[in-house]
Amino acid sequence: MIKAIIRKELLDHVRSVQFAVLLAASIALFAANGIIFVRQYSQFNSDYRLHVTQVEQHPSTIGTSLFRSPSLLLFMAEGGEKSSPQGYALWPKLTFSPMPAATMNFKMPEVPDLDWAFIIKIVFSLYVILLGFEAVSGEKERGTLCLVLSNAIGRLRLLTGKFLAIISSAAIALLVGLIVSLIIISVLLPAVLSLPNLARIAVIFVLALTYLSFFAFLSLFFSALLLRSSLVLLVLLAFWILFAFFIPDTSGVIAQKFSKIPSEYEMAKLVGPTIQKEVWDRISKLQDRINKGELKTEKDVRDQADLAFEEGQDRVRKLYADYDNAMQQRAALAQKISRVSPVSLFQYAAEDISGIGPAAYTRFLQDVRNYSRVYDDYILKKMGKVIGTSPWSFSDRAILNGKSIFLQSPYPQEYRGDKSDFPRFSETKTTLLDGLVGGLWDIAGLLLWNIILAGLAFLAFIHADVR
Amino acid sequence: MVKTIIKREILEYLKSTKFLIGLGITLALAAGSTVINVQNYKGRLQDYQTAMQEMKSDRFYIHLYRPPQVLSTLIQGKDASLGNSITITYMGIPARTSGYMGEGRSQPQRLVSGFEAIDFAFVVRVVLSLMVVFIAYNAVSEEKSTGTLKLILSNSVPRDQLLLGKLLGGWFVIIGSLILAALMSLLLVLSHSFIAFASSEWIRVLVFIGLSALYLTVFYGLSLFVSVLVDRPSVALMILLQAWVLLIVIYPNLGVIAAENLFKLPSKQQLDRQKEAAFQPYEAEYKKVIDTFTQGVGKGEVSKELGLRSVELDALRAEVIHKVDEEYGRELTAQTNLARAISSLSPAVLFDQAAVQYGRTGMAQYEMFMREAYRCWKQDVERSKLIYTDREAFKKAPAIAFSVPSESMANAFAATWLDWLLLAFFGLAFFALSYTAFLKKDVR
Amino acid sequence: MSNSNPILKADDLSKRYEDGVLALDHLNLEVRPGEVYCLLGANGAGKTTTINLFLNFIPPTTGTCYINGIDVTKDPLKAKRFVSFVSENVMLYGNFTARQNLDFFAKLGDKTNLTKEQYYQVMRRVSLQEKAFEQRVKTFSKGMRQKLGISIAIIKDAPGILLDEPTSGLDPKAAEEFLEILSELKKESKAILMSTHDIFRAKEIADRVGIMKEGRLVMERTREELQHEDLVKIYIDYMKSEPLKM
Repeated sequence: MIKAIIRKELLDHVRSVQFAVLLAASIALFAANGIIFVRQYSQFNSDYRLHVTQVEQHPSTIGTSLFRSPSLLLFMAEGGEKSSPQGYALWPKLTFSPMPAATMNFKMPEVPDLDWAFIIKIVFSLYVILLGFEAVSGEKERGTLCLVLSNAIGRLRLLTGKFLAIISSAAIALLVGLIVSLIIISVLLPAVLSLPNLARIAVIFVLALTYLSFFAFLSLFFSALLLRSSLVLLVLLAFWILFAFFIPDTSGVIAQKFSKIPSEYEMAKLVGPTIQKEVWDRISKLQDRINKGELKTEKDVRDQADLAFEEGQDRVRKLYADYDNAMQQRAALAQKISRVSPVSLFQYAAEDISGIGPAAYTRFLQDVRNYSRVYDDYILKKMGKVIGTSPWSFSDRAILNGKSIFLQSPYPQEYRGDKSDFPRFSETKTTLLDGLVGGLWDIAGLLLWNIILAGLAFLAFIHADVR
Repeated sequence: MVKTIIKREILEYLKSTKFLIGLGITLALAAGSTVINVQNYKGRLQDYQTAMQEMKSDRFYIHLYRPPQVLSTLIQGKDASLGNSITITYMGIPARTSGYMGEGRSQPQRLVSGFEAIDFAFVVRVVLSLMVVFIAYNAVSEEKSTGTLKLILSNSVPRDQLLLGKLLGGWFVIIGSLILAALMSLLLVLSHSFIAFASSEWIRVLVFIGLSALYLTVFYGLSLFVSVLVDRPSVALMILLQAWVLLIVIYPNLGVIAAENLFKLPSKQQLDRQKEAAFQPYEAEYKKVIDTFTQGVGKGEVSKELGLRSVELDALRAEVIHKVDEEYGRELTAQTNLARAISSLSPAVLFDQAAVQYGRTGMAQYEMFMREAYRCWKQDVERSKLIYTDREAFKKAPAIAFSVPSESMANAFAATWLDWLLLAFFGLAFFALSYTAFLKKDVR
Repeated sequence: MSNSNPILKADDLSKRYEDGVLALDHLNLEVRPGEVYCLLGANGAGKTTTINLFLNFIPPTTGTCYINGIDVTKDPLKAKRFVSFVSENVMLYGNFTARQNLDFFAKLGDKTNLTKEQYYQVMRRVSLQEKAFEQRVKTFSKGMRQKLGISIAIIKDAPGILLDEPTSGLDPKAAEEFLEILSELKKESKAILMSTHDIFRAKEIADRVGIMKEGRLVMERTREELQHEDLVKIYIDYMKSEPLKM
């Protein structure tokens, strides 16, 4: 009997206006996703190749650049790639600075990327609500609910049938869309359809269904609880706005309130005036020290100047490192807070499975740090000394024994010899398994939400007044 | 008789559960988002005030700071995401503001949903428009199905008066909800001592509320129209919700994506090459002058002419680079305008771009700041030349005045009149359609 | 039967819909003050179409409806002043009380400035329970809603009353009470046109009965004539007979 229910419900959904629109929207959006991704990836890739070649052709011991290779899976979860730095400029002594993101138009309104994650988490979740909100309440209003229940079918079975019908309808529309997207992408970029990628795509599909089933259960719960269709829809849309927009967007501000990070201005103040002033003071005091007889040779004076400068730079570097850490912690805290919402859980899990997003970016940062040590070693080997770069510079004069010494801030020099053994930068690659492990908590969270809402839905339906 | 109908309509809404729930959600979200935005503003204001106090300009580095806009508590716009400081020397003026920690380090937090922040404008654009749909979708179809429509028309009530009564009843309820939410948000904003509205702010707030009313009226007209056309309330609701998703969620984003793909921007390399090419004629002389200058500093003597020439060439170089940056900025604006033009069929987009203009949190205010910064730079160049032409005057020269420009209301209107016109057009069109459809409607 | 002018008059009324169906075929009927005219017929016979034409909800293909001598298509607003309407499934405004509903429709019928007591009086007259006066209509049974519906018609105090299947779905007692009210209204010289399925009640209350079949008024009988004939038999015979040629 449950098969009859599922069949009837499924036909009902498939013939509804909502499903037709969902199917059309799915095809259109996923097709757009495919086309846009192919263009974007080609652009990113050619830029990347160009940059990497440039570095290989002009290796330098003064500074180098490290670039992120574009991922073939950007179409699944863009993960903020467009606004993340495309690479780092690296200087000796672990000094690196992010390169601003590629030609992003900062005047444009912020718009989410049309990746699979967006289409699924915003559009599909909405349509699952539209498919499911009158599952119980609509039947009651039409008078068919008591008719169905007057047969020998348990409420549990009936609700399961309704749930399966909703999820199957959504799955059909989703599958069609994914196939459209993949066809478009693989025609122009066949490399996308490698076996490991296909595995990831399959996992994303399952993850998407898990995410959508939360909304199916949510719809069934309220439909059974409130029993008036228009009211049910209103409440469901309120929750949708809460989970999809409000919680993710305000988690950042909340994190800011609760994290003990000094404000950006306070950090900047420490870097500039405070440390800089101290360094200048030390250097200007050199003349006094010469007069007192502490420093006797020109070499001493120069060494002291360099030392003051280098130590100041070290402190600045540490401050930048602290700042980066603090920013990362704040972002991590914001992520944690936003995990209340299943929409965020899905986003993070999708990013982990695609190997893209903040976690991937953190890995890249680690790669940069590791490479930085290799780079410093290389400079040490070639130049005998590692001197750091700085946005400050000083030039001053000191008089020793009547002779005027010109002091200038040290700066790294270019090695003029053979640089064919220049170290190459490589990014750590992750596998699907790494992604699953990384996203374990998020996937668990989604499952937990599903269990809770499934339980609530069943309870509500069992106690519902169906007359 | 219209008054009787209006009164009943208003009472009907006030008694309905869905209206009360919708209103509750609206007020909760408005309150929540306003509180959060005020905190955000407070932090930025403190940073700004401290920076103005402590990190003042000296003779070489001129620090200019962009104050946070007080109306960003209601209309976030880009105020929090655009950088708030810029440092100028005669050697260069950056293309953009950056955060206090400098370009690249001060990236604003990426929003997980990918959409812009939640603010009062969001509540109007998304939540209230949804509530309008829920209120109005069965305005006519419900009465038809319960038979009260026939009952009313069996009296000597002209059809246009009936529609007018229903229309106005619903409209008063919607506008009432808007004003309630706005008053609450304003109270939450103004209850803080560090926030004060000048008369220009008040005017802008009032105009913004008027804009919100017009925006909601457009959705109301659309919902009413569908309610007249479609007899089955559930079908009407479905149609309206799809239209809502299309107009608010999907279509605006497609405009941006289309513009990004249709209008290609030059790459950073291209820009760098342009800058090099533009300075090419002076490159040789520049190298020679800088080399001689550096040697002169080492020896402790620099001739006046050499010093002056080095300043002039540095300034020229900066000017040339600035011109290329300006041109690029214009292309960015063009691409943005294209995106807006493509999406201008969506009332949500029209509302948004006008709202941001009134809140001073869009690009208009930012561009004014940058232009003022450029003017400041030019003055700095003249002053820096004094180092070599008139050292005493240079030492006595006062700090360069920098006043943060403020956009006039007239300017804001000039930039947004088309948005008002289009919104009004859509609203009138929907009402006209509803009117004609209702007059011909089969009410049995 | 009075000899004054008819309040409700259908003059050679026909209605053909866009899909070609002839819903009404040259109907002629008159209802005078103090008269109850019952229109009998199967579903789709044209009873509701007749009432819709009187109320100008649809335009006639040929012929005219007159209310109090006014052509309803030429001056509908004026004509509607003289008629009240009780529809079949009167749902009214569920979130409002009985009195609030009554108040709203009274004002629409140009009866402004009535007091609460006056409303109560009318509702008492139709035997609506006192405690229901200030209760929300969505809690009412069908019978209670019908009573409220007729009280709306009473308070308008128009010379003509149109009723569309008013007793359908009512239990016998409620139907009886309803008809008592109608006979009182008849005594107040109201002209009442009522469409119904209910042969038995029609026989009780009607001064004249018209049987409609496929859009035509095939038979008319007065009360006296029905004393000697079996309305039930006549009606069923007509229903069973061959479809009329169109």
